[in-house]
Amino acid sequence: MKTTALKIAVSIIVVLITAILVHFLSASNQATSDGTLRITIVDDNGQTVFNGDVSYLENDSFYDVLQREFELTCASSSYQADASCSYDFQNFAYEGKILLGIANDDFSIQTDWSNSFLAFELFDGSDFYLATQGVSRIEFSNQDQIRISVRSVSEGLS
Amino acid sequence: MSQKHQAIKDAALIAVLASILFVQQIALSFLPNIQFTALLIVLYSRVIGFKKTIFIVVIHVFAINILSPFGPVIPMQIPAMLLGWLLIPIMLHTVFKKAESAWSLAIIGFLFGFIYGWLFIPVSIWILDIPFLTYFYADVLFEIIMAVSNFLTILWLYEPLKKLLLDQKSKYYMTICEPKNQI
Repeated sequence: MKTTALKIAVSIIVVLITAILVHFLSASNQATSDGTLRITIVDDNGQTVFNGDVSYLENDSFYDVLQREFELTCASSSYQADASCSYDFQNFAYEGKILLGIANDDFSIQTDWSNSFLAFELFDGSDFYLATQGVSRIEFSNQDQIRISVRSVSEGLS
Repeated sequence: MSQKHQAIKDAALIAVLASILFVQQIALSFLPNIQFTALLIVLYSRVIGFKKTIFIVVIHVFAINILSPFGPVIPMQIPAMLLGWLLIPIMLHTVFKKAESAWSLAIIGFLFGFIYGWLFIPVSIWILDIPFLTYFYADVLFEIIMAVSNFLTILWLYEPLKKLLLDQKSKYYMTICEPKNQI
């Protein structure tokens, strides 16, 4: 009886600590005010197909910014291309969209998740570094530069 | 029981237990890093022994990469995955040989959640060229989830499952001697 009570107490404490950690490590990162971002998009040949400033509004996520400016293709629940971008991943460890493709009138980029994917990199003043969050949760602020590029799964990220 | 019968029974047992391991991981794969894999490998290590558990882990790693509907991991990561799961029986038969209680095994399972994640770091950094800190920050949440999942499943389910499996094992290996010259 005493052991079971201890197990219950320890389990509750462990779950609560985990929930708090997950909450803090999964910040939503929405814009706190209006602003602009410099976005660069690089295709699978390494060619820059888009390089320009886009505006964002308060409470936008980075996905919202892209959705307003480009035609997007997201992953469905089975990681298939879905042009409607209707599916939201709702895992506690990752919530939001997975972006597979991005296009406008001048270019079109498509990845398939298994062999290729879109890498998101943020500019820190001297170099670009990989984002540690998905497209819906990337942290950004006014005048930030973000690069989106096609990468091969087997060839790595650099 | 003859050696041949023993070998057939062992092979059947390994197949059944590997199937259980495979099916639960596929069934729970929609939840990132929440599974009973660590619990089952700990259980197998303690109940059916080191060699059979090693076979089960090897079968499981290949099966999950060949048959999973979510596809395999990157081929370069398969050795890390294999080594990761093999670490449980290896550790439980060496440094943690005396760990028998659910509490001690649950703590080992908790630590293993992080060790398993870290085993993928060398491949990610040196072969896939992912920057260390980027990989570490992105993965730490999943390591915490795996550690907690291992801790809770082992803490609550290890003892009842061990009792059940020991009981089934003794029935399974029970020798029935039939008289040869019945009149």
